[in-house]
Formats: sequence, C-alpha cells, structure tokens
Amino acid sequence: MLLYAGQRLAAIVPTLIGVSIVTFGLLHLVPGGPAVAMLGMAASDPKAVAAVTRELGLDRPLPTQYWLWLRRALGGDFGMSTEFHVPVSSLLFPKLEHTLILTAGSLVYAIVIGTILGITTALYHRSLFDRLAMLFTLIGASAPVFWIGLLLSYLFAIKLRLLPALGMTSVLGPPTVLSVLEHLILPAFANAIIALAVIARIVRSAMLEALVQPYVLAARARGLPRWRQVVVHAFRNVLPDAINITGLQVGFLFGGALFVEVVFGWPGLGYLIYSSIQARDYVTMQAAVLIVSGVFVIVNLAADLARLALDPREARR
Amino acid sequence: MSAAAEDVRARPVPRSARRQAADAFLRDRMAVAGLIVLVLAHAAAILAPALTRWDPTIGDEDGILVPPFSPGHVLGTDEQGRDILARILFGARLAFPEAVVPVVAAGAAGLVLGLIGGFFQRVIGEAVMRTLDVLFAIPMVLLAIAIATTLGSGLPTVILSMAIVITPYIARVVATTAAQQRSAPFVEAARCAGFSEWKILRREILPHVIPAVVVYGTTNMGAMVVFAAGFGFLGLGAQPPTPDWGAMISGGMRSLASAPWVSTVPGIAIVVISLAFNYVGDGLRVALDPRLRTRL
Repeated sequence: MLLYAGQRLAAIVPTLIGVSIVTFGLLHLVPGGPAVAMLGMAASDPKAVAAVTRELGLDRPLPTQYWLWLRRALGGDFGMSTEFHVPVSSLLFPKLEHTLILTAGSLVYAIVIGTILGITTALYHRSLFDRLAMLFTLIGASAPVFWIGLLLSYLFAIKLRLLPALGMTSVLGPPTVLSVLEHLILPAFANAIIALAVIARIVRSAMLEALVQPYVLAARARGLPRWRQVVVHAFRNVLPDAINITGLQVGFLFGGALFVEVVFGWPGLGYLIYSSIQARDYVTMQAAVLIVSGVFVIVNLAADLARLALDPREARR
Repeated sequence: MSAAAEDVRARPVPRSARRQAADAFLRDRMAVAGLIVLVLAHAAAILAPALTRWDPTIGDEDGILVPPFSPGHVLGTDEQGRDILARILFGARLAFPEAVVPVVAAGAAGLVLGLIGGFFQRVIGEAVMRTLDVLFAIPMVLLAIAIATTLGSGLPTVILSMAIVITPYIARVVATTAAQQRSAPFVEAARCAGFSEWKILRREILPHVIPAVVVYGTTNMGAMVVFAAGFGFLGLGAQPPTPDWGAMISGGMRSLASAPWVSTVPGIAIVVISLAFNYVGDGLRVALDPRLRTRL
C-alpha cells in the first residue's frame, strides 16, 4: 500500500514535467514568438524585443530556454502580465483562491446530490422517479454550463430576487463568510450540474450491480434494516468507483468555472482567463494553465490514494 | 422430396451481421428519434436561405428585442433586431462541422496512436501513452482555450484545438480495447495459425476497435456541440456578425432581464442537437455490440 502510494507520488513528477513542457510550448506557438507574446502592445518596438530576447535567453537553444523558464516559474516568477502590467503571480494567486472556493462549492453539490440521486434511482429502478431523474441528468449533461447559469440567474436572481446575480461578496458592508456563501449558491450549482449528472449515473449503475451481490443478500438474511443493507453493505462497495469518477470531474469543474465565473462575475481565475483571451494576454494565460493543471494533478492523486485506502483488493495488488 | 430437406428450407434464413445491427438500432426508439432530429436539423442548415426571409447578419432597427411568437419573428429578435430563427438556422451551418470534423480528425489520429500504444506496445507505444497521459493532466477545456487563444480566433482554430484535446481520449479507448483483445484466445489462435501481426490487426483487432471508436465518437459529437458553443461564448469562435449559437448566448447576456429569450433560444438548440447525438451514440452502442444486443 505504502509502496504503491510512493509509486503514484513518483509518477506525477514526469506528468508535471510534461505539463510544464506543454505550457512552455504554448508561448512559442504565438504568432511572432514568445518575445512578442510577452511584450503585447510594446512588441512594435524592435529594441524592446531585443531586450526581452536577451534578458530571457530567447536566443538560446530551446532546452536552455525551457530550463530558464522552469527555474523562474518554480520560484513563483511567471513574468509580467501584458494587460495589467503587474507580475502574473500577484494576479494569479488571489484569483486561484476564489476559483477554489467556487470549485469546492460545486464539488459539494455534485457529491451530495449526485450520490443521493444515484442511490435512490438505483433503489427505485425503472420507476417514474428513476426515469425523470435520468432524463434530467442527461439534459443537464448536454447543456452548456454558462446557459444553465444564465437560466438560473434569470429565474432566481432577476425574477424571484432570492439570490444575488453577480459578484462574490455584497458591495454593501464588509465581506462576510455568509455573504460569500449566499453569492456561491447559484454559480456553484450551475457549475456542478454536469459533474452531478456523471456521478449520479456512475453511482446508480454501480449500486444496481452491488444491490444484487451475495453480501447484500447475506445482510438481508441476517435481518439487518434496509438502510444498513443499502448504505453500509452496498454503497460501501460503490465508494471506490464513486471517488475515482469524482476526482476526474474536478478537471471539468475547473473548466466549467471558467464560464460560470463570466456569467456570475465571480472574480476568479476563469474571469482572469476570460479577460486574458480578450486582451491576448498570453503570459497570464500560460501561468493559469500551469497552475490549474498542477492543482488538478494533485487532486487526482488524492482521489487515487483515497480509493486505494478504501479498496483493500486494489491495495493488495 | 425428403422430410429433412423440407426442414432445412423451413428454417429462417440467418440474417447478416449488418442487418442484425440495423434492426437493433431501429428497435431503439430514442436513437431513431435522435437520428431524425439530426437529419432534419442538417437539412434545415442546408436549406436555411430558403426557410427564412431574414438575413441573419443584418438587423432591423425598428424591431429590436421583439418577443417570440410575434408576427414575422417566430422566435423573436435580438438586441440588433436580427431574427433569432434565421440566426439559429444559419448557426447550424457552423454547429454541424464543429461537432463532426474534430471528432473525425481525432478519431483517425486516436486510432493510429491508440493502436501503437495498445497493440504494438513496445517502447514507442509506451512513449506514446505516457505523452498522452500528460494531456489528461491538463483540464480539457482549459487546454483547448489556451491553444485557440494562442493560434488566434476563428472556425479552423476552434476545430483544430477541439481535435487536439479529444485525441488522447479516443486513443485511450482504442488502446484499452486493443490491449484487451491482444491476449484474447482468438488472437492466440490466429497467431498459432501463422497469421502475420498485420493480418491479426486487420482481421481480429480492428473489428473490435472500430465500433468502439464509432460509438465513443458519436456520443462525443454531442459534447462537441456544447464545447464549440463555449468557444463562441468566449469570443474565440467564428467572429461577428457570423451567427454562432454560443456567441448568441453571450450576446443576449446584457438584455437577460428584459429579453431572456435572446440567450435562452440558442441554448435550447444546443441541448436538442447534443441530446440527439447522445441518443444516436447510445443506439449505436447496443447495435454494434452483439453481446449487448442479445441481452435485450
């Protein structure tokens, strides 16, 4: 078990190196090359281009350039934003925190509702409730998150005036945890829909299989109450699968946050990336891809280890 | 005429594999409905100029934000007074290529890479699979958007970046299917019979891999419709005033409170087409897998 965990931990090193090579390469795909990408508007001045080229070693061979870039990035120096004229890292990390709040909120919705929906639809297999819930998850998974966000915003914020439509905290008064939570309800739910649908479907099919296994029958024969048969005996065996799929959904939640933040004016990385796209701020974009991918890799590792801890059969292999 | 000969003739003629697959698909009502929706929507995209008298790019200043079901504008107009139905119809001309082209391109690339990784294996196969692992580590949407931003906006860029990000997923489906079949008894048998590796690939492996790619690809075309809408929403897709479903949704954001239909209608189009692709994919899954078929 510990050995396997160590192996998994070691295996993310080449992955992270690969990710860094891909993100490094992005800037080289920019028409005009990395110097132009880093200067933005100022790239019209050949002297500035020459200065950046010299300073960042862009005239050196690619592997050297990569090494120089990686060393700076590991030290937290991602370069200057061409749009906001401040170091990207000072821009990025506060926004990352906001996006993590939104992603965590979505994850809570996806796990809680997705699991409950998956278990109940499996228990009432082929009932009207099962059919409606599955249709709902299919439609939810087929709709763009930003469109769902706009519909929710129109219904709950504009028409019913129950929840705020924009922002992360109230503009009136100091920001409180309560006001952040209030602002989180709609965007987190909009972002959660696809992950929720996927989790519900996986839990449902795994539960359908688990419920007819001998160990559930044995629990029933021993006269255990129905909830114990379902939760302790059947669901316990579904848990590793559920955790695995949930870990994979985190990447999609990050992706979805990008759109949801634009709809709800949530001041996170997604909103930053959106402004970077409009302004062609490649440097900020590059750093955002690197940071989000790093977080994603670590989350997946955590999910993998949790699954391992929960499934002794896997651990023994 | 002997009794035995009678019996042989009375036996039902065994149907061809293709015929059985077609029958299984036709039994799936949702798949057939999905296919009908796709055919009709595709026809509507081709016949768009004949189906509407409005120009999708030119607005009518006297008729901005007309609500749906108004005379002349069945689905209403947007903030520039452009007919929404016309924009939906012309927008379908982008939505179909955006759904199909990336999947076909990634299907071809993923098939080759997946076979190298899953069937031929060895060092090069291992290298291919490890490289693809790196692409899994970057959230798909983020990678696609980063590529598209870097290369500049427009339809070809959108299609290229979608193809790049789904290739690893298709390659993985191919590699797992091929790796499973590689050690199957019938492949062992073929090897014992002296089949060359290429012949094994063609006769024993591909018949398993191709249906898996077709099913996975079709289901993903639905996701691509949604994906492409995301590009349009962020302003990375076809540039204005070209009608694009995703861009229509973001265009309607500002008038959401007073004219919610501007954003709502294109979203419905996206959901319908995406669902249709999903149901067709599900139907194909059952139709192309004889094991699932007999269980019905």
